[in-house]
Amino acid sequence: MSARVALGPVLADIIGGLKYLDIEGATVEEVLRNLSAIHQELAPLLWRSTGEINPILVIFHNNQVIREGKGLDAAVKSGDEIAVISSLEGG
Amino acid sequence: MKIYDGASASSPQSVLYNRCNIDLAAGGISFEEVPCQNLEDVLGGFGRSFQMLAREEITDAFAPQNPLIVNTGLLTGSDVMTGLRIYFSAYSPLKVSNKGLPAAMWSAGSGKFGCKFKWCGVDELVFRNKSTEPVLALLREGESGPSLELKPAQHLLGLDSHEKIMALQKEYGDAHFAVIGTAGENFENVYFAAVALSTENQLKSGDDKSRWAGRGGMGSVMGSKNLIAIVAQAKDKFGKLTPALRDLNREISGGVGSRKFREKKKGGLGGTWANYEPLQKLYLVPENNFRPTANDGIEEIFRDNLEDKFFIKAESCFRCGIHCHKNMYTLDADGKQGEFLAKFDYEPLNLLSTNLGVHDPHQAAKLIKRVDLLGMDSISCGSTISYVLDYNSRHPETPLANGATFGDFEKIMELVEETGQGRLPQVGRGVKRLADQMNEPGYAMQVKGLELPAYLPDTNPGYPWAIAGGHMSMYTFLLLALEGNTSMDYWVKAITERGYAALRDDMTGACKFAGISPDMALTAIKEASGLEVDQQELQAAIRRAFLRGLVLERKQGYEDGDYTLPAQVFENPNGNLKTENFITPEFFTEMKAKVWEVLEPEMEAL
Repeated sequence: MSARVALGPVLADIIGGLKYLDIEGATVEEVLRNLSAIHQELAPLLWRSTGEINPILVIFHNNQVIREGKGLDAAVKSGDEIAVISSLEGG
Repeated sequence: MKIYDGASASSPQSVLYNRCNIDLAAGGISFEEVPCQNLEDVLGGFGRSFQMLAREEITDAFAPQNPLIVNTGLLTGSDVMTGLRIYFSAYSPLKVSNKGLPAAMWSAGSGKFGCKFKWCGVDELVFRNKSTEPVLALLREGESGPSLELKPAQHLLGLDSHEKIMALQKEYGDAHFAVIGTAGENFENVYFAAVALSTENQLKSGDDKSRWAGRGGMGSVMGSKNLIAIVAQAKDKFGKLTPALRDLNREISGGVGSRKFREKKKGGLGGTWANYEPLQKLYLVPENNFRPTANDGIEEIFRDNLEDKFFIKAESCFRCGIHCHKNMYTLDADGKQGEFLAKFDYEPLNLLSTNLGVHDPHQAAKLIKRVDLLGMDSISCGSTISYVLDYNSRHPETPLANGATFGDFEKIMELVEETGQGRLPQVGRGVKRLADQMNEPGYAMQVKGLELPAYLPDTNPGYPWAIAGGHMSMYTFLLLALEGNTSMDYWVKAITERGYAALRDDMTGACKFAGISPDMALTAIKEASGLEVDQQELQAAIRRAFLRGLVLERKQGYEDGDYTLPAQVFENPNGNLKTENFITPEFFTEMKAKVWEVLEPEMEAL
């Protein structure tokens, strides 16, 4: 399955401003793991050293917020959107 | 702005901008078309104004010869959504080197004034000297081009920023306004006066909903010239949306880039105010003069906890679909919108409430509103007052000013009032001067003379390389919370390769909350102006403009000792923070050397 991943400015800036990418994966977590495997410079921001998702990030799966990692195991259908944005931005 | 066919980044001379020179002492007014010298000139904002300021020899920000440059960006007044910004640039009374020389500074604001300004047919006003009487500058579009007239403004004196705007609206139809408040009128005692910019919502509703060019005391410089207001009177000008522009605007208003600032019901996170929750998880919310106490008593001000106590409405500057203004109204008994109270953004909210020990949202709203009406920068005002409260807690026997302490709302409000009316120069001249005077600079939250925004210096060694205020001109202020990296290489790269990129929108006229990606920026420039610019050229222009800002600091006497953090960071690390206290003196000294190793050769080659 291929999901459309949308990256907020903080993440997109790290990979040259790319905001939308199509990434394979059967679950939300797998999509994000594949994303950080393809764009390794995102890995330190996406994942804590303990392997958990960075709690400062907010993940939306088809506009539903995944809070504190609950929902990362949700199955992904082709065409789903997974948005990753920082909960901290601006001033 | 005239852009001849075939103009490109490599032929900036094919772009001419329209400048109006105003001699406020002699009353001389002249327009000229100026060919651009480089892409920064074309883009506008500080990219252009700093090149002019570099040619000036200014030792006193209030000297008549200090030019006040008011200009737009290439996208200001265009059909690119959020292309609204206007820039005020001058040598600042607040940003000063340790040698006492004023530094070049700019401050940007949205609202609708920038559009009306551009629609008058002018790109830049340069005010020099000082008027003997209070005046306003009336800028108008005409059949043969723009005109500017200086008119008496005695009748505006003493009015607050909102009252001035509403009074001007009665005099000038189809116009928007930039005004100073009472703080700017009392510039000699208030160095952090701001410039209020009218919004369409403000003029229609009659509520005090200005936007602000707040930082660096540009309102004080305006006041020093006896320039009380600028009126821009022109018909609205909307172009035809091309498919590319329509797609671009759709992405700005509904895409991932602005999601943080949109409402939750529109898939967003609810604005900058929502920074409170994630920062508090790490105990990084400034409390009691930037000294988090690791208590959980500040949740009262979290947005989720106020949804049923206030009517919160997301509003906007002008033709913007992001609706980042989170305006607070009283909640009527029937659950409807009541009286407008204030706009809650993270910066003013934190620095005028939590960081002063005030946790009541009603009191916070009153403080924010009063600071706005008096026409002060909420960051500088808040961070200076938090120093006073801190000092008083350390010296209860010999307190400063009225002896206010953390949480004492009534006395804090009195400090705000006295400062804004120009009766408390000790506070009004900013925290650097006050702390030096008290001989206790270690906990004065300023860098290079500018008060810090609401992000702890303990988490951001990049602050000293911000050229126009700690956060909006150097995007390193959230990196520790976000990425948690404390390595030397990481921070050198963060400062020299990443943080300054935010300066693009300090030239183009677009809003930083639009989340415009590099590719979108090229599309916006092409669609708004027809100009073909490639990514490499744009990035090079941003970097040159950044480096020029640092060169200008050196010109005004900035030396190694100016590039530092409040001493408290090094001498008394806060053990309450859940992030690592990595900024030791040794770390910072080594990092600074490495940063300059990268930047200095480029600065010399400019």
